Amino acid sequence: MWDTFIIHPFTNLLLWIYSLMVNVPGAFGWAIILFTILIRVVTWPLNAQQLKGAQAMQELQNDKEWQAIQKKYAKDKEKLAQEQMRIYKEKGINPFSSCLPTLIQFPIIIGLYQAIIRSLATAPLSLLQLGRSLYPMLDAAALIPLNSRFLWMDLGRPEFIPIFGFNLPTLAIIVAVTTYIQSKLTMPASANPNDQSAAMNNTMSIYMPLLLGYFALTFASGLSVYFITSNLLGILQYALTGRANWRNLLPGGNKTPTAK
Amino acid sequence: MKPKRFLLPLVVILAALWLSACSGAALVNSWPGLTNDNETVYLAAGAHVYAIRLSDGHELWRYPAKANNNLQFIAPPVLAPDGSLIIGSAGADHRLVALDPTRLDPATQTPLEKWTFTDAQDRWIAGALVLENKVFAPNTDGNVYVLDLTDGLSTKKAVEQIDLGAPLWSQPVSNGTLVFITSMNHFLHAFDAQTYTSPWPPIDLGGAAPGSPLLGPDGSLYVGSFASRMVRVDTATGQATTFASTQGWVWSGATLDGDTLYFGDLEGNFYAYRSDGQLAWSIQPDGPVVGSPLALPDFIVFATESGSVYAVDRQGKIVWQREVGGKIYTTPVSNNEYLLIAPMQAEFALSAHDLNGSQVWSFTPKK
Repeated sequence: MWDTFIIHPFTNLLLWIYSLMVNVPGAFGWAIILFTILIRVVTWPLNAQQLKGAQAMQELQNDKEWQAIQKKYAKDKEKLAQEQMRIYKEKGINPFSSCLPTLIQFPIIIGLYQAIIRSLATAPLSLLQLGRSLYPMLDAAALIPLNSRFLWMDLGRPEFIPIFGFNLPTLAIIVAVTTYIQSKLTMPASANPNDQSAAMNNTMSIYMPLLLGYFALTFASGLSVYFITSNLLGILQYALTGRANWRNLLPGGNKTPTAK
Repeated sequence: MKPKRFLLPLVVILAALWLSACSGAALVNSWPGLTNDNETVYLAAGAHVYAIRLSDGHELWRYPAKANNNLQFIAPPVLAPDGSLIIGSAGADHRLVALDPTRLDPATQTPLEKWTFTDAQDRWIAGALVLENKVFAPNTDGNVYVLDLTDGLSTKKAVEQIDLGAPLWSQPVSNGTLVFITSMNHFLHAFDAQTYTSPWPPIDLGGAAPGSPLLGPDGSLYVGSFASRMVRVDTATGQATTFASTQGWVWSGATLDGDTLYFGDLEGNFYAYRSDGQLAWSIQPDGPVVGSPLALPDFIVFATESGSVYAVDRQGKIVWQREVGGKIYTTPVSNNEYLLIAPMQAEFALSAHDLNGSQVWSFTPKK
């Protein structure tokens, strides 16, 4: 089921893009970039909805009425939930609007990752599985195996650049930095010191770069190309909405000025 | 700090572990390599290479003594004329090692290393070719490394590095003068075993060729590929002609017996072609045929991905069929008394059968 509806279509789409540019140097790297752009364009409305929802929830944390009911009904969870729902309705906020798009995108991200790994097929059994994943429209015999070279990288292997006898994981660093920038930019300012959502965002902005950087360090560099492209597109998308919080990139920049 | 703050990071870390689990980063996604002499069968299966006594399936030793995630073995071990067993790792530590199976470390009961070669840039999927005093070792970094078997060095340096430009998954073959090898970028290469120069340009096979070429007695080479055909090459001139078209991709090399060529394809066909290119017969077993067939005195043996082993006579009649279980991709081997089968995803890693197909013993590595 997962293979049929997610991995096979993704793998075939990726290889179809690859087949269009098979004679271009670094074709598979470009195919991953184009594929990521395509996925980002298709999921653009979902991303926009997620950002909008997250922003609304964050703004709600600074709302005086919201803060008041938190204090007032701190010991009555049922009443608190009723009051929260009332405020959601009044302000037209869907509390799930920020997490639902993420849930929908999660299989896409996993599928894309698996499609990249499957396409690279660096071992015999993987190649056998790849051959069976491909639709008849593709000239599989001519395409396989893919040329995994892209710029200085072998997309089937983790990337390092040897500098002064030390293997510098360039892509892993770029992945971590772009993930950090993206998460910081999309993090709204908060004036509420008890804002749990902001605290969680802060934690995530540290964990996520480290985690994705670790992936980039460990897994095939084709995945890093996907992460970087996706991050840059995410930054671009948010910048285009005019809500990017560039001050967040500076230390202590995630606080809004409080009224005296 | 409140516990909720760590809920989302925890979910992300769990997702990361899930991704890690499905990446196969530590393990190599392939089937075992197998070879034998008259008394011992050598199985390269994941973290270890095992030496197993042919008569009863008893494990004689394993290398390395303790599993190491960086060492993974799938390439068929190769027995050199000097008694060395040459094995290559497809793990992150891609070393080629020559073991001395006759000398075991008293403490670990693991064979001593005669020499190691660690200069290759990538994994070893193919077995090496030993020709007189030279080892021709093809690596997935696209190079055939030529090592001197007799230089006495414990840490080998390549005497020559022949760059063929694409991953090499197949064991080379030789007619004594020239070495022939296929590369995954669809080419068949030839080079002189002494001067390493090519007598003719690489031949485009039209598809990837993960299997070894077969050298016929008349000097012709037979090479199958993902182009769904078997190509015959005149080794003197480098002229290639289509010998046979197949319904599916051809993964492994063919086997020649008398004047008949036997091979299978991934669409689940098994063919017998006369050397004049005429189809003698074909049958459809219960699954794709990945490994090469094995010619025994009374019949031809081959295995299918569906886990069956077939013995067919020279006229294409099935003599017997046995369901071994799991999935069989590895080419069977035999000492003319036992038939050895190494399935994947089966209850055991290796089974020995008599020549009627009945199982004599099975081998499951102890933890």
